[in-house]
Amino acid sequence: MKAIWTMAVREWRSMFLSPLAWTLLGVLFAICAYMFGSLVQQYLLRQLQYQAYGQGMGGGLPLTEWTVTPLLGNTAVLLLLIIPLISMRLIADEKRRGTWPALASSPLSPLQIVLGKYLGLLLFLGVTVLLIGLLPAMLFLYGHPDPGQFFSGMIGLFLLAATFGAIGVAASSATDNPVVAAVLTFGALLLLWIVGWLGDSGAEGAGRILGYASLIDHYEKLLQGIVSTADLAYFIIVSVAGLTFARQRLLAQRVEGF
Amino acid sequence: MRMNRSTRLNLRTQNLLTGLLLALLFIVAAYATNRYPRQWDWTNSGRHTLAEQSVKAVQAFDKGLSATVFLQEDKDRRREISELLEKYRVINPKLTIQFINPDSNPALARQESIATYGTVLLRANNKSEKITETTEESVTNALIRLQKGTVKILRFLTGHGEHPLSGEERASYQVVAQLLRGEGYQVQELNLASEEAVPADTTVVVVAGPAKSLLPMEVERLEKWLQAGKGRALIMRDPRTQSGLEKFLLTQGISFQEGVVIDPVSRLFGAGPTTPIISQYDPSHPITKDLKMPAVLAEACGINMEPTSAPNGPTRTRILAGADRGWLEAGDISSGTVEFNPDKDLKGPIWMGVTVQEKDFRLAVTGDSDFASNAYIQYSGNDTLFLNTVRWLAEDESFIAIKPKKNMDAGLSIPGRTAQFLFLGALLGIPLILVGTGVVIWSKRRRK
Repeated sequence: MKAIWTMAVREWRSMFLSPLAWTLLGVLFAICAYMFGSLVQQYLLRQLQYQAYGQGMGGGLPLTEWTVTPLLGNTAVLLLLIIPLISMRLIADEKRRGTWPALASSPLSPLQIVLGKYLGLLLFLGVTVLLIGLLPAMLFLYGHPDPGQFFSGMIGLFLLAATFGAIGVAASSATDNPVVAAVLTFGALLLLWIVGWLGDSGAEGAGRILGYASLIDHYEKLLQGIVSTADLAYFIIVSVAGLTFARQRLLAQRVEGF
Repeated sequence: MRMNRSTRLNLRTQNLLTGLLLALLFIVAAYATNRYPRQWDWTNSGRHTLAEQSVKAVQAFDKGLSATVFLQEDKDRRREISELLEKYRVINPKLTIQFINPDSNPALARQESIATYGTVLLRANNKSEKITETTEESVTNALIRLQKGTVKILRFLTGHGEHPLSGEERASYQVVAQLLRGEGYQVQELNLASEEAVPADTTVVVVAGPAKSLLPMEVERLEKWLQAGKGRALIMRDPRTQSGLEKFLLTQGISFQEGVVIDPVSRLFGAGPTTPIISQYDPSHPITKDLKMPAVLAEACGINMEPTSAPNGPTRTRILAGADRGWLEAGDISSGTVEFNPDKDLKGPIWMGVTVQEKDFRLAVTGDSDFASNAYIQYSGNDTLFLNTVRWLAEDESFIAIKPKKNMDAGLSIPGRTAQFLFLGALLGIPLILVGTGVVIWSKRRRK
């Protein structure tokens, strides 16, 4: 356990020692701030219209629904683009830089290596999610957003990022070229994103399975403030599957000796 | 370990098998967690939580229940309906939900006589209920009806220029008939001139604004049914017509006040003065107590009703009144200008709807029939008023009204300056700090 933690911290530190992580965070935050600013602007405008026309209808225009939910929904798209860039180096880069034999011959088991790398990534993603969460959190100072829906949305964002990351780790273990790993991750994530479209078109049986596989449906329920064990389990199962794949890959490579 | 071909093959197979086994495990886990979910609603208004009545209604189907949604390719609608039904499925996992496109499966749609897109067919124990409106209220009530399992028949009198039940015209009752069918009622026509008597399975007879008087023989047949003590009727009569039922209504203490109700307030809403707005509802009667929106009638006459004479007599309630600042115009209105004439006209408010109840006998009378026609049914509270009246007559007043939940998540006020400051800070300040830190760290490490 301690070995995993040491490795996670080492990984996390090395991310923040490179300008890539800082730049990604800066760009991500600027885009999110812009989107959030325009959403709040729209809300304020609609609120005025609403007060003028729709008085006395159920207490007003839902704030969280109009600002936080779309922000987190759009942030998911940005994470889809950014996480492959972060996760690509995790394992593939070690192989390319030639540090892999040292790691592979260390007393660490493949599972420990995968978990250590993944935990390091999770620490980074945690920082990212907290940073983005600052934007909607500002609303609490000036209005009455729904705290429950806000927190379930934030949990959703973190789970989504964690799932993206696990898939990234899996892709990074499959190849020794970081760029290939990034492309693989991006492809897999995009596929998981759009796989539900077929399910939506009304097909039965297979359609329902595809609908279940779709990332976005599970995420949207959390954004709505619905916390369901089915959705939490989905994220955990996909993450565990990704990590297991990476572990199996490393195990096979270690035994086969390359 | 020394590697040769066979050990390598062995290892590969072993790896493959482990992979397959693990994949199977994940699929089972996914299936199990999806099949038996637990769900919490974290919103502070409980927006996603079903009302208690709905939970009870769906739990009653422990032997299974199916919902078939007839919907064309319409993603938004599909999502909306499936989200609603999914809430019921969380409570009762025996509920199965199926979407069918009626255009690609016309035979099935015809077999179930599906008229509109978005119809939901609920089925359990060989009985079925159809709903066209997908709100929690309608689904829950359909479930309750499905549990009870009796279909109530409404018969609309024909043959005297009443509003027809079909057709796109303004005067037709097509929309209302559709709404009633959506509520699970059977809607039929009744011609008392050819039928010997009102059929025994009739729940409610509706007399929807006859343009000419009923034949004495028809009145007799209707009266016979009503006086048997279990009759339930909705009588809607327009001004300047004779329904032939006036004599019977007099025995119930009801008489019509001739003339047309004039309501100057309607002008404010862009309507003519002969469309009175119902401004007073009886706050205790089942029909009107939950009505929020005012109804709009079109050319109504007034109704007068004597209070109950006998102490154990029927309950007589006046449920609708309007034209508080108007009057009942006795004179001619065709000239287009009307004026209050204290000698002849009756000052408002005018009563326009009354009910009588004595044990199983129920009667509702309104001074207008146009408010439920295609042209007017969409106006504010008209549809609810009409549906509630029918529900009360059919003894469905236990119909559950689920009140919309109050939204607690609302309101934002940022002073303009602060908003600009925060926006610029978030858009430029923080990102610059982040990127700057990155550059500093990078250059420091490079110098080393």
